[in-house]
Amino acid sequence: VTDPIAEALDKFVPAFQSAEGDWQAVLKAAAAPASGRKIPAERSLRRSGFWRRVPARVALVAAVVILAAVVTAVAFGWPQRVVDFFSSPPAPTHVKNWVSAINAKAPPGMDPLAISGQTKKITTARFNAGVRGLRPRLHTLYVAPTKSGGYCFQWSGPWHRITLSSLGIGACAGSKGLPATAPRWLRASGPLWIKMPGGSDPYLVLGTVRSGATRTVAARFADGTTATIPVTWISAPINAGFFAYPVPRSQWHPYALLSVVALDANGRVIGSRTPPGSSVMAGMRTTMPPAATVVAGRVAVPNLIDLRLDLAERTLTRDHLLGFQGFRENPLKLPDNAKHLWACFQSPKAGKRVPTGTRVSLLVGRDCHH
Amino acid sequence: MDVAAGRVWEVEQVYRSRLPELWRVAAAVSGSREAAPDLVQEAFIRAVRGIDSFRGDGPLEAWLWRIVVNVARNAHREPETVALSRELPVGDSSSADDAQAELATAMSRLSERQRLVVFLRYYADLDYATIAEVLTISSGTVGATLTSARAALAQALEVKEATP
Repeated sequence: VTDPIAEALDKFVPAFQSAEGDWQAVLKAAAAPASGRKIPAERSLRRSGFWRRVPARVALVAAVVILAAVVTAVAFGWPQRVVDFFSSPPAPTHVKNWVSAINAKAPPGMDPLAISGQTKKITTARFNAGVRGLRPRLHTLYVAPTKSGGYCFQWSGPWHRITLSSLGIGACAGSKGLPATAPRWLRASGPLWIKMPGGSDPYLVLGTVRSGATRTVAARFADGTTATIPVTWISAPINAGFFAYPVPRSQWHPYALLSVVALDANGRVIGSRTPPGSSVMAGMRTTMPPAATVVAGRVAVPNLIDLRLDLAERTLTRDHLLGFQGFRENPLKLPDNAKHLWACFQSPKAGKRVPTGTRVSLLVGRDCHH
Repeated sequence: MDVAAGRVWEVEQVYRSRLPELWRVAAAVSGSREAAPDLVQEAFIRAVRGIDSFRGDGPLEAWLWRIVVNVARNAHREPETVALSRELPVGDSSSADDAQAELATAMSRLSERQRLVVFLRYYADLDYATIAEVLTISSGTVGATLTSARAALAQALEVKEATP
C-alpha cells in the first residue's frame, strides 16, 4: 500500500542520490583555531591546480590588469574602483524584470521609478551570504538608475534559499518625500547605508556611500584594529559607491565590530553605522585603570568591571595581583582570544587594599550587559 | 582511546552512514538544497568542536541531528535580516507543479514543530523516541504532532487519511 503523503514528500525534497562528504575536512576545520580556518573555496581552487594550469601569457595579462586597477585606485586616493556606468554591460533580462517588479511592488505613490531598461552589470564579488560560515560564492552587483535621480541595486543570488536562489537582495535609494511607513528597501539612502546580517555579530557588511566627499570606508573593531573596505564607485547617473565586506572570521564575536564609518579626506566622519545592539559596548572599557601604588606590601584592587579581559589581566599583573577567571557562559562556546571577552564582575571589590599577590576573581563573558 | 576520541569516532560513523539523510533534512529545514552539504559540514564541525559538551544523557545520534536541525534552522532565519527579495515573486510555475505547490503551501502552514517532525520522520526515518530527543519533546507529543501534520497535508493533497 502506497502512502500518498510519503510520495508527495519524496518529491518535495528528493533524496540525494549520492552524498560524498569530506570527513577529513570536518576534522581539520574543527581542529583549526577559528581565525585560522581557510575558506573552502580557496582550498578547492588550490587543489584543482588552477593556477598551475594558467599559461604564462594569460598570467602576465592578468598581472597587468591587476596593476592597472591598483594604479586607478591610487590615482583616486582611496581604495576604490571607478566603474563607468554607461559603458558597463547590460543586465540580463531576468534582472531587468526584477527591476520592473520592484516598481510594481512598491506601495502606491512610492514607486521608485527605476529604469529597468538601463540596468547594468557592475561588478562581481565573492562573499558568504545568507548563512554564517558557508562557502563564499560569487555574487553580481546590478544597478539601475531611477527617474528621480536615485538608483536601485541588487546583489544577485545564490542566497541559500530555494525561492531566492536567482533573485538576490536589493534596495532603492533616492526617492523623495517617502513617509516613515515606507518599506525599508525603498529607503537605502543617507551618506552611508549598510545592511549587516548576523545581529550583533555580523558576518557580512553590504553597503552604499552617496557622498562624493567620501575617501575611506572602514570597519572598526573592538580589539582596536581597523579594516579599510574597498568600494566600487559608479559614475553618473548613479554617483554612489557600493561595497560588500565579509567580516573576518576572527571577528565573529558579539560586539567585535564596533562600527562602519565613511570618512572624508580630513578624517571627518561623514556617516557611521553600528551593528544592532552594539550600543551595549558604550559601557565597556578598553583603557587600563591607573597603576596602583604598593604601600607596606598592600595595594588597592583596581576596578576591572567592564574592562576587556586582556587589559584586566595586564592590569592585575602590573599591580602585583593574581587573576582567577570564572565564566558567565559555557566556556566551550567562548572565544579563546581575551580581546573578545570582558570582565563582568570582580572580587574583592575595587578599592579594597589587599596584600600583593592576592588572587582577584573575575567573572568573564562575551557581553556583560545581557 | 579516550572518551572524547571515542565519541568523535562515533560522530564519524553517523556522518559516514547517514550523510544522504542528513543532507536531505538540512535541505528541507533550510529550504535550500544547494546549501545542505555546507550546513551539514558546519554542523559536524560544531559537533566535533563541542564534543565535550555532549553529556551522554541521550543518544549521540540524536544530539547530532539536533545540531544539524539547529544549524539549518538558523540558515533559514538569517537571510530574513535582509528584505525585499523574499517579497518578490518567484518565476512562473507550470501546472505540473501544482501538486508540489499545494504541498509547499500546506507545509508553510504547518507549525515549525510539525514540519521538523515530518522531516525527521520521513527524510531521516528516525523513530519517535529519537525525534523526541532531537526536539526535546516527549514521544507522545511526537506522535500527536505527526498525526496532526499528516492530517493537514492530507487535506491539502485531497488524500483521505486513514484514522488509526
